[in-house]
Amino acid sequence: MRVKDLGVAGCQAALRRGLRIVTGPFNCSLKTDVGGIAAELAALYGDHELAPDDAMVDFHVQVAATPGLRRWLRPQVQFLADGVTPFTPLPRAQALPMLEWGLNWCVTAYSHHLLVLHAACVARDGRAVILPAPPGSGKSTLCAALVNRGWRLLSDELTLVDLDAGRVWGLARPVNLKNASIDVIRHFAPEAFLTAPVHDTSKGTVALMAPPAASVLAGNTPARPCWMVLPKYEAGAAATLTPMPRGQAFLQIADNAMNYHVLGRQGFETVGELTARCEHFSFRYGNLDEAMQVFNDLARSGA
Amino acid sequence: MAGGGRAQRWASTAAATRLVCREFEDGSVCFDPETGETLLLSHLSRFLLDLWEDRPTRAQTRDDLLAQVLAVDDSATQAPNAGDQVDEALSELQRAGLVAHSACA
Repeated sequence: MRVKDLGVAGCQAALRRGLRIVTGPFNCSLKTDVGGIAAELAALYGDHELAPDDAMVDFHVQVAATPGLRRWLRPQVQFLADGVTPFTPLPRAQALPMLEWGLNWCVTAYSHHLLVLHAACVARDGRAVILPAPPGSGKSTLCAALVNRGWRLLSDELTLVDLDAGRVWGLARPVNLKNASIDVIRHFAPEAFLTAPVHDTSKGTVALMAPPAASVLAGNTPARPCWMVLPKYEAGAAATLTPMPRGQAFLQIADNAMNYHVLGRQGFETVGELTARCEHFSFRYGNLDEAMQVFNDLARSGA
Repeated sequence: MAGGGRAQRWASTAAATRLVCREFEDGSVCFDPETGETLLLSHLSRFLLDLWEDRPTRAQTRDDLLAQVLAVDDSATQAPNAGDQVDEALSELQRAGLVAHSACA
C-alpha cells in the first residue's frame, strides 16, 4: 500500500498518529499536527510505500506547533526527532521544508553504517552519477532537470554509499528547489508536482518537487557509482565537462562527506575506493537542455 | 629552498609515520588517523617520505635526498631543476608537518 492510497483525509489522519513510510533504506514515521500540509505531503510522498505495522522505524520525526501564546500571535513550528529538538523553531509556513530538512538531519546524524555525501545522485541503467557541490552551484536544479528527462533520482541532497563503495542507495525524497530554480523547473518540466513556494526561509524561497514515481518505485535497488561530476551553473556558459584527476577528486568527495571524520580511517578507505571506481569531472553549464545532452552522452560512454 | 641550506639536515616527523596513503595519477592522498587530516601530496613528496620509511629519524641533507631522487629518476630532468623540485617538495612536507630540520646536524 502506498501513501496516495490513503487519500488526503487518510493521510492527514495518519500524520496525526505517525505516517510510517519506507524511503530508501529507512523506515520513517512522519507526524504533525500542523494543518494544511497534509495535501502537499500526500502529493510529495504519494508513491512511497507504507511501512508494515511490525517494521522497525529508523526515524520518528515530528513537526509540531510550539506551545504558548506565540501559538496565536506568530505561530511557529518545531522539529522533533525521537523527542529531541535539534533546531530553533521556524514560522509555521515553513513546516513542510522543516520536515524535509529535519529528515536530512536524521539521516546525516545517525547513518554511520554508510558514507553520507552532501551530493545529489542520479542514475541511468544502474550506473550512478554523484553530484556534490556547495549551495548555489545549481546542483538541485540540474538534478531536478535530469530526473524529469529519464534519469533515476537517488537523492538531491544526500548520497548514501556502502562502506565498500560498491553501491549507492536510493533515497528518492522530494527535491528541494530554491529561488530562481523554482521557475526554471516549472518551465522545464511543467508536468512535475511542485509545492507552493515558501518565502523567507534561511535558504530564500523554497519549493519541493515530488520525486518521479519510477524513482520511488525503484526503491531499495542500489546503483553502481560510476561518475562524480562537480557542477557549477554560470549564466551563458557552454556546457563543458572537464576531467578531474583522482587526487583532486578525492579531496572534493571528502569535503562533501558529512561523516568522513566520524568514520575515521574507514571514511578514508571508502572515499579512496569510491574515487578509484569513478571517473571524475568538473562541469560548467548555463543551459539545461545542453546539460541534458552532456549527461546523456556520459551515460552512453563506457565507464 | 625550504628553510636552511644544503647542509641542513632533515628527518621525518611522528606524523609522517602514521600516514595512510593512496596513490592516484596526480599524487598521493594521505590520511593521518590521529588528527583526521587529509592532504594531497605530489609524487615527489611521497617519494621523499618513503626514503625515511625504514628509519624515520635518520637525518639527511637536501643533497642526500637529491642524489637518491636522481638515482631512480629515469627522466631527462637536469640536476639543477631536480634540486628545485626537491626543495619545493621539502617545503610542502614541512608545511604539512611531515618533515622537520633535524637537531643532529
